[in-house]
Amino acid sequence: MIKRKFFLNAILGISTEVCYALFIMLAALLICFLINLKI
Amino acid sequence: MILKPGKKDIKAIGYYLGKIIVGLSLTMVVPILVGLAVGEISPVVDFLISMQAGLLIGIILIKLCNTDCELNWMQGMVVVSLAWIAAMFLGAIPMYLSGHWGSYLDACFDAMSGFATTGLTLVQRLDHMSLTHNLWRHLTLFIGGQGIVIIALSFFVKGASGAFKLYVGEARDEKIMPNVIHTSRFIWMVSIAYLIIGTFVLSLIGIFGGMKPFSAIFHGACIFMAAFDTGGFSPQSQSILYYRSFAFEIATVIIMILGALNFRLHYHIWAGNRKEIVKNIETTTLFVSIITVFSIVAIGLNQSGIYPNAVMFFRKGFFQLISAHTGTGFQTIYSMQFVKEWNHLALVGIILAMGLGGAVCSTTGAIKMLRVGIIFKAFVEDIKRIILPEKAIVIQKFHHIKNVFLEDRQVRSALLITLAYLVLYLIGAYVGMFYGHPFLRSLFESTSASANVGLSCGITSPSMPAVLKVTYILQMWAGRLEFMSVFTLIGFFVAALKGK
Amino acid sequence: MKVFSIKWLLLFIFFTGPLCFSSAAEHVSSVELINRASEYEARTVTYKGEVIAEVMRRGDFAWVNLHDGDNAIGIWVPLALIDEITYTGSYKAKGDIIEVSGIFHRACPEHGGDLDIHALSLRKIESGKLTPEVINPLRLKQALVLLGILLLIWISTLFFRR
Repeated sequence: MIKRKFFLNAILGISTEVCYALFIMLAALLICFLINLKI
Repeated sequence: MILKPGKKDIKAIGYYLGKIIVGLSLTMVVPILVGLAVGEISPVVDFLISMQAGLLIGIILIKLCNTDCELNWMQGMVVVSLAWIAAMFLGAIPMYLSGHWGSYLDACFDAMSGFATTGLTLVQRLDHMSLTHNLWRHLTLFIGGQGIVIIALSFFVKGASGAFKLYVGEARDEKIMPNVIHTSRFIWMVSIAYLIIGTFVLSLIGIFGGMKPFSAIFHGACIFMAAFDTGGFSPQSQSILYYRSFAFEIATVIIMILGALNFRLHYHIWAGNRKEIVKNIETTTLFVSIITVFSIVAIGLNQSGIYPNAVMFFRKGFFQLISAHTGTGFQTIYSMQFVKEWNHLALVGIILAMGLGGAVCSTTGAIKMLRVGIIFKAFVEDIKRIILPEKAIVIQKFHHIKNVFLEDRQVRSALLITLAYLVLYLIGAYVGMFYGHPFLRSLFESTSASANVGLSCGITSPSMPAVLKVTYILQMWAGRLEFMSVFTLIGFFVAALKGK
Repeated sequence: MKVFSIKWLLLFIFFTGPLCFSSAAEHVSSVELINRASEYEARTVTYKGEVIAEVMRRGDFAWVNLHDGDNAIGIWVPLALIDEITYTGSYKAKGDIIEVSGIFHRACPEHGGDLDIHALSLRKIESGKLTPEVINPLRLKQALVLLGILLLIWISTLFFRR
């Protein structure tokens, strides 16, 4: 039971970290569009 | 009064150094097995020679210096700094025997670059290298990224007290779990878990991109090790440009960012405390830093006009920026393009990103986000003290796993290490300028070496002077160990000469 | 009159012919392409190198990487042209030496800003070959000697324990 809980938490943890990375990328993409539009 | 190191000190240092050398030699079993599996016998012989030489030296040291003593701080730090030098000499043997490096010094450069997860390289004819030797290059990143000493702690060192001193000496002072040996094993567990997932994802992208399955898996594993350990070696000479794939670049960006996170943060997030990702001082500082520095790079690139649309900006500008900030060193442009096409503003942005780095207790180098965050908080505290009424009590806090009150000793420590890095960047830049390179390029290459990044603007090459090679080797070594072990080693030798 | 016109025509071709051919496809090295990329942008160039690593097929095209001794440049080649390639450079093979003529891009808009050449024609200059590895007998001896020494140490350890 504990092992299964840890496994599930690990999967959710990995997803959280990947989402953090994706968020940084999205913010950077926004800057690219803003710079390109010369705002 | 400086005390001269005694026989007891030398025995303790020799004994633990021997254990680490034995542990490191045994890691060469991996390329030996792979070489046998793919039918590359000549490289297998090279690794057999190297492994046996390492085992011989390690066993002799253990036998001659056999001791039951626990390490003290000085001994622990000296062991760590010497272990990294020993790793460089040992790891260079199979590289030199492969014939792909012009000299043993060049092989030592790449070995130190690998273990220090830098990624600067002096390799020649990389595209004709055996899979076995190529795997070893990437394994050095994996081993060095986790920590050479961590390997020993995981498997060979029994005493927890001495083990902790070795752990701290390797620039890992974050206590993830109460027992440092369990901490080492946890770090391996995270790395192996991500290795499986990352290799799978990269292999799939490779196969869809036209690579053969075996090749895609080999490249996937190597690129994962280089990305997660923010090392930056690649199996082919064109770095990530070889793959010509937006999907591959996105996957490597994600893996680089994951590798730049604190292992203690990984532990707490994996344990269920997922809100830590937004509350932690390092993740918030990293986000702000990346976006700020990328804005500088983007403005610079926009001024030079080389990438006319937003997607190109992102693929070229952001990729190089993340590669710099996480200390990886992957490139999707040629080194000379930094010089010929990127303007000075964009280049300064990259140098800044390299100099700042990722999180502490991660695989990255440089000043690191915790120190940057602490210094920023200290500034805010001082400004508050000036603005607020004299009688007001100003208390500054930051969140790093738990809420921590900002104290002067933390600020002092952060500022000292930051100053040490800045001095190191400038020393390397001075040596580069001594050999005729312009200031900005010299600073770029020096920062890349000291911060264990690996991006190159063309200075690093087999034809560069030996003094510059040695300078960068020392910079990579000192930068990876965050100075304390290196200073302790220097102090040890001074004490040996002048002590009573 | 006719002979006089033919003479002028031949002279004209003699002096202007090379200019026409050189501006159509210049032989360039990877170093020149990288260092003077803006000069060669969107021009037809001829580039020669060894095919290294894999030919990566993508729909109706493929990526072929040619290494000229200094750098490798990625060539975007129509599938119809890659049949000539038999050997690609690796540990156990020397790749075909290929000459391509195509349009050079400093920052290709089709390929996300990559520096590349879009091939218009491809010609094999020299065929590659397999290069089987050679095991150095001296290295084998060194490995065996070291193994012998390690075994001796192990045996002596057992002896002293008893």
